[in-house]
Amino acid sequence: MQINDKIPLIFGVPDVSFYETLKEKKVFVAELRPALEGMNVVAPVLLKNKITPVLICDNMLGFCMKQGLVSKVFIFTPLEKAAVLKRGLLPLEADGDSKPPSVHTVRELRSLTGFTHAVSRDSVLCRTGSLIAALLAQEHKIPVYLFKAKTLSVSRQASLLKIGNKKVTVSSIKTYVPLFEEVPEILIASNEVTTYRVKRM
Amino acid sequence: MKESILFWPVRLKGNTLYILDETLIPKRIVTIKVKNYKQAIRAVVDMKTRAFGQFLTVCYTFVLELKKTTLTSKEEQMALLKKIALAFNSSRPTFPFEEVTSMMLGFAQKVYMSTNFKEDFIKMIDGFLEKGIRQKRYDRACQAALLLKDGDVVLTHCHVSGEMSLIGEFCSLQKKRVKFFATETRPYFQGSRLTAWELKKSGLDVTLVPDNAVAKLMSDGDVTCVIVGSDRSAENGDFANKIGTYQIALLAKHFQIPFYVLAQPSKKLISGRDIPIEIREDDEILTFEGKRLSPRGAVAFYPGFDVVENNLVTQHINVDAN
Repeated sequence: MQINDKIPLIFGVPDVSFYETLKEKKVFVAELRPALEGMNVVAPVLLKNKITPVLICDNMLGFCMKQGLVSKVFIFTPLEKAAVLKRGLLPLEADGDSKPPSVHTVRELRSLTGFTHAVSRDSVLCRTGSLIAALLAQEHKIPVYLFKAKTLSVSRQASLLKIGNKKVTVSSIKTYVPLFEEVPEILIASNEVTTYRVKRM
Repeated sequence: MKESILFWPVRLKGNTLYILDETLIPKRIVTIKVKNYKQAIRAVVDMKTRAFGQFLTVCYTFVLELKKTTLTSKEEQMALLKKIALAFNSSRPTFPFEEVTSMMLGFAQKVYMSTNFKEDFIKMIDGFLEKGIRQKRYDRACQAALLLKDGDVVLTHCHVSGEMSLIGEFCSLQKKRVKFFATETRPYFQGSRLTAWELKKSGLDVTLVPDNAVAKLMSDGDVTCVIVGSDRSAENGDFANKIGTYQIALLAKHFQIPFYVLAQPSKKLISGRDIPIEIREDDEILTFEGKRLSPRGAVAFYPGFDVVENNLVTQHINVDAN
């Protein structure tokens, strides 16, 4: 499909509360490799809300912004301010039901996210690729808005050597799939999430 | 030197063109047998061959058609070559077909006055490719290797038709240990299927990453430079390459990482703004091998290439134009 007007770009997996804030009828949705949450988590919710998802690959963000097709960029962070931040512990929300909230130590969060160092004070933790989106947006003078992400889920299990469960290439190839990266707050126009930062250890 | 099969993916034997089907690699190594220019163009449009393979397909198709033609007069043979040129020129928008076909017609003009027009043309193309172009690509890979130092980690995108492993070979000869990160390059996976496979087969250290990991790699200091190919250059040094190259170039500038391009200089277009960008079908993103990846109702946008302006390039590594 040829796109001629400016529409927003969603990079990441929004919490369900995000979708009702969208006024536009069409939005770019980054597909999010390797698990393709853009296609199979974000797009269905948009369709339910009568918004047309325009899927793009994660490498198309720059082109779309340079061509003047992007009005704003939405990125998402899974971390939310806790009422009480227990020393060494990070509360993360459970996935929607009545199960008690899962609580992870920083060590566990590091292994879940692939981080080998604590998140710094002036940045937020977002889905890998969000930094690309934010830096490109800065270059092209497009505002970046931060919202709450759907909590960490099965992304970790997806293999880069496959797509839709079909093999893409030989299994002996080494892969590196970092799930999260830090995005400096200075790149964010408006922060709709009261995030908290992990203090440097 | 070890040469990947992807370095020279199209060959002419007798009256048949053998085109390596890059869409099946690495699952299967299969060549498509092409007997005429219409079949050759079909292979190009379907992206069974791409990049340098496309270039070879154009050149060899001229030879193929001239070899098997029953047309006896030079005028008729020249008219045939012009017909082939026109057909290739309208096949796909971004790759500079017109520049390649003009070159072929230029060679034909050069030998037109010869009494052995057909044979002389065929000999000329053969020499141009097998001795000229082949050597120039080796030289370019060697030049690229000279820019690297021991311990460098190269990030690359898409696939440069066997030249990346050649660069790796030259680095070994120059006693430099170099590692590679390859982006998978959605939606066609040239990175995972071609580049990572080729580098691994050559015994080089390569790690595959998703296209979305580029900023993290640079930010973490995991890569020390970028080397990419180019599908088309403008006179001012702007170039077009597989979609995603532009954002890598911009990020490289932001993180102050050298960004190199293996280029074929051209004077045909003035700047990158003149390079047309091919928009391909939604389904190439939304499906894979016939399987639907997205929900019904979703659409896609697939620009096949993007343009990198010359100010983002640290150095052009050009194939010698002479």
